[in-house]
Amino acid sequence: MVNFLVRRLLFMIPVALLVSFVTFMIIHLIPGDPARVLLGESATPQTVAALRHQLGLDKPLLTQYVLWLGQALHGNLGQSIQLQQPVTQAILQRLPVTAELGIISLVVSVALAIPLGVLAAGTRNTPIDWLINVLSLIGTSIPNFVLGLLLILFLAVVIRPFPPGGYVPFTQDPLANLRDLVLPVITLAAGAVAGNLRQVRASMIEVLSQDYIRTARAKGLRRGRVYFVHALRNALLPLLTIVGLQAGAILGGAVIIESIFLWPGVGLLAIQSILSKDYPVVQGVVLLSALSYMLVNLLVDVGYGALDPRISLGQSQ
Amino acid sequence: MSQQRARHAFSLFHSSERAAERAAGSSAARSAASRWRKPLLTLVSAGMLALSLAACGSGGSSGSGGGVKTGGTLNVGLDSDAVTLDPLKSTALVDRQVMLNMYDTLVRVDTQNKIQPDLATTWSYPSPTQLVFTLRSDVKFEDGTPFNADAVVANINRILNNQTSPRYSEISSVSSVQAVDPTHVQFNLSQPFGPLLAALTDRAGMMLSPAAISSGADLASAPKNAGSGPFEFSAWVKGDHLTLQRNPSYWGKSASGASLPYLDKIVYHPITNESVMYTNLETNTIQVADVVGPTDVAAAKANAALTYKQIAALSFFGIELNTQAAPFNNANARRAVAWGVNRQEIVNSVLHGVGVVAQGPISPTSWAYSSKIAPYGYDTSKAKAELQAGGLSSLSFTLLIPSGSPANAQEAQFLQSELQAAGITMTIKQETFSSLLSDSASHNFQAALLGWSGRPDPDGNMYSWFHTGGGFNDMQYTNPQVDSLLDAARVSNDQTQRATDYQQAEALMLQDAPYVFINHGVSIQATSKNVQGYTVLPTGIMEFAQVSLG
Amino acid sequence: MAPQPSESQREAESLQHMGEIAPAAEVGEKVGEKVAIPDEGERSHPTFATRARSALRAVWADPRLICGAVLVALLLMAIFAPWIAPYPPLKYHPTIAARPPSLAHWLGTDALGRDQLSRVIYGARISLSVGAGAIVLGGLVGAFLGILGGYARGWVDQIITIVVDALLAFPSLILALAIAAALGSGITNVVIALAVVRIPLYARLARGQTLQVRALDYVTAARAVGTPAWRILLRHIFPNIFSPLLVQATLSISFAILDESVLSFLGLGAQPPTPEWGTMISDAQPYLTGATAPWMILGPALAITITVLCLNLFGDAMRDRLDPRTAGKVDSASLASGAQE
Repeated sequence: MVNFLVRRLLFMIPVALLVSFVTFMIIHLIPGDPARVLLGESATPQTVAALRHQLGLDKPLLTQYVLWLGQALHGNLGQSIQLQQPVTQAILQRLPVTAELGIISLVVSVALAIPLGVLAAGTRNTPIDWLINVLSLIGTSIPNFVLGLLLILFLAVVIRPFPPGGYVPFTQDPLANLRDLVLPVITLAAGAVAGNLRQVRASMIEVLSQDYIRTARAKGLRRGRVYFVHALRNALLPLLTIVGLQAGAILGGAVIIESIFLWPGVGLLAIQSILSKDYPVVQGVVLLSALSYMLVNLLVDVGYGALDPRISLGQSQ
Repeated sequence: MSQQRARHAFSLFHSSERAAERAAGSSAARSAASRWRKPLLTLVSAGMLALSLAACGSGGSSGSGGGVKTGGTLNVGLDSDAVTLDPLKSTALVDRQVMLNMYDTLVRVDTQNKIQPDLATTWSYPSPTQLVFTLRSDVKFEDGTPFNADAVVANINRILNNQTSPRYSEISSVSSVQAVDPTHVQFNLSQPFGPLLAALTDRAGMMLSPAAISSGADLASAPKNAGSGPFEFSAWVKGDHLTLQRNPSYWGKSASGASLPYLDKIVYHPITNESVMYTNLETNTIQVADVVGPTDVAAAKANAALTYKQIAALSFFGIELNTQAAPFNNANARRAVAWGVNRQEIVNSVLHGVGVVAQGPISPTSWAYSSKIAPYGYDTSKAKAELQAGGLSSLSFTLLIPSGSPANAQEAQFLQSELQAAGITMTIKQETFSSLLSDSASHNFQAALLGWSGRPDPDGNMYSWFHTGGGFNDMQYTNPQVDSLLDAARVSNDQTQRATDYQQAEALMLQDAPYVFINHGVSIQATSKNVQGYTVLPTGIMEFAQVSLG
Repeated sequence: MAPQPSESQREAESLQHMGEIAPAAEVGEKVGEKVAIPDEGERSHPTFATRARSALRAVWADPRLICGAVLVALLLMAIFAPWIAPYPPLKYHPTIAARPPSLAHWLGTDALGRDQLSRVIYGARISLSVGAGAIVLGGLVGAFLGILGGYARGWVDQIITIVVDALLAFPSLILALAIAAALGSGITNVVIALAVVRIPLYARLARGQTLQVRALDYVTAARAVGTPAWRILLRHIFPNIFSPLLVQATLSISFAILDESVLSFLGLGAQPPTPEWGTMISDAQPYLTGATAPWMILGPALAITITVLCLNLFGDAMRDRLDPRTAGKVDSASLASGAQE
């Protein structure tokens, strides 16, 4: 177990290095000069050159990368070119927003997926099952930016119970915060609910067909008890993997949602930074996202091993 | 305001000035574009709103100003968050919206773009290279430091000692500055420079307390008590809101002698999506919006609870043509495009009227404007005649536009269709804004949809764009006659002569057509009906010293 | 939630169902079954009537197969767009801009007065070709890397695994966005960006399969008698891993199409005036508020949703048919299989 953990953690190092290097190179391939963009206006070539020098943009690419890496290893992710603040600060400021959106969406998706999945499995091949399946398919198939725009159209513009976008920190106004949350969470959770409930349904069907469940039913245990206590516990294992993967990829999903609903989170920061070539920020966001993805994957594996003794952690891959 | 918006062609961009200002297309139109990808974020939620509205309801009391109501909180929507509040470093136009309510400048511009007194009451040129200001003697900074000639010297030297400041090049004609006595300060110029006064109406002329500067306070994000303006810095939660509060010791008085400002507080909310912005204005979540999307303008005008007004701004939008590369190294090809553009239809259909047809770089609100200069209408037969005169059997080219802006894309498709009728084939290519700026600056383009937010002084709309080697002369345009006229106008302090020079230069330049002008942006007032005393400035800056909530 | 997790889930699922968990012997059988999908109708009397009847029976047994027909219809729509579309997709008419749906314009007109229905029809061309292109390109490169790693083992495998893990650790949309921004806007570059993002899925799948097939007796034997590696790869490995890759490909075209529309939505994909669904949605966005022309979004939104829905369903159905393990476990008559996307 310890061996496994150490090996996995060590393996993350080359992967993280590669991720940061690739990001660095891609961003530098984007045409444009951040110094020029930043200075704007009547900036003379000398001023631009001076700023480029100050930002270290005049050094060879590899040198720039090595310098960045050296700083990053000391926990210093550099200074944002466009925001004029440290990258770490820029990310930390926005992280709670993305985390709130992501975590609540995950919780909502699991909270809806489990009962719906169990219901679908229990009413297999009936109209209820059929309806749930159709809804879940639509949920996975509708692009989330389309869903977001449609929600804005119907719930924020035509009738107006919800604001079309924006974000108020929970600490400042809990009620407003929750109201702002509704549409983005629906948008982000829709796909996940669909996926998760189909997983729950499939696992439940599989578990329910097994002998011990039949025995339990035959012994006269109540249906609800059999479903939720005996069957569900075993059906949840595969769900864990999927939720783990979803958690690791929150940022990817948040990009579009945050853009549509104007949430000042890390996803929006990422898009802005790519488009303005603010590479220190892109580096920071991608690195953060990649590390959290890998860590969550590791946690899922560990959790899986803990929950299911049949799985040995010794043999990965 | 919208004029500034103008450049937000590409909204996801942190609005650096160049990014911001050089948007393509047309002003507010752009905005429509801006939509959801704009950067920052938040707006006030209704809940919070409710709180602040309650505040303004209860806090308001009828005050001295001749029946003008004092007190209250004004919620203002900005199309992006401010970046920095230090005028030395600021490059984002949105910064000015906040800073000009916090800091006083030496001189200011009025609705006619004329220079008016602010901290300086009068000014004179003892010689063409000497500019002397007489300063107010009754002004104190919020931290108690008196405002005087030494304070001006400290502020100007701060710029002169900092070559990487965007301000440096704005006042590079200043070689030194000296205090004559506490109320007189003299600028020594290396050469005469007509546009200098206009530069001092903006960030280069903002006066901060020398004590605050030398204390090393965080001027960029928390400039507490650093200014002398109508409002002082209170709090800033980046991406969420920025609050200014009334400066109780502000020196300014209303026309009737009442103390200014009337408002207790201004809360700025970055709202990067125009639809969201308008919805917030409609629901009175904000009382002032700095931009209204063209598709919402009709609704805003029709809404009895809102005031919507627009005037021509200083910006211009159109197409840069690379005069040193095929096919536009042929002047006939450039003029053919200029004849092939139906400006009025673009203003009507793409901008929904949120724009003014442009014939040249100088806006109708400028003192250098001449309505006689109007060389190009929409005439496909003249376009075809130009092609023929230039020996061109056909003309095809690629137009670069900023990605992520439906309004720009829409305008480009209109242009494409109009030019097609004149026998010109245009291909559209979208690029991220930083790529677009980079390609145009390195002259790696045939045509680019790029505009300019404009400057109060005509020099700012002419020199760097159309003088040989000018900073924005992406077109590589060169005409010695135009150059000498622009040079002459720049070193003159005689406004009448300067206006004549600019008009001559403009007429000559337009004959060469290095840039196809399409429209000017507009400055708008989009406020709740109870916002009183608001004046729309061509610069688009929203000044709140005289504003009250009726 | 986001495309990425879903796709990773699919991958996890595919690996579970088709790959490493299944015992090696089963792989061989499975392959045999897959190569020729036996259809009773075709075997006995290939007359039109029996064929039609058996097709109907198949559809009755698995309604998801209807989606195949819808996909074919979409494909035909794309190919024959010039004949089907009621109006030229590029011709603009400012006088009838932003009109609501009517008999003359079933989906209304856009901001430039162009017929939305015609643009939706033409838009299928971009979406389908980019989706397919990205999958083919990403699949080929991914399969190559996976087979190489799985067959060669050792340090080659280690390096490929690190590269694949790194690609997988990227937030996929952010990576695609960055690549598209770096390469410049345009359809070809979008295909490349979306292909790169998909490489790791195929590489992992191919690697797992290769590892198993490589361990099969007859492959070991072939190696023992000195059969050249390329021959083993071509004759034994590739045919055996083709089917799972194909299933994975069908399942992920929909994600490529979604991502393509997002990139176009951001202005990095199809260039105006090319009709494309994501761009059309983006163009419609300013018209959502003020109730100016909110219907403008419906045409492209429906088109993209239906396409993705059908690809998902059809992919599911195909997996069930091609993969006996899942097919056996999950009732194939149910509309949605238990398989996870």
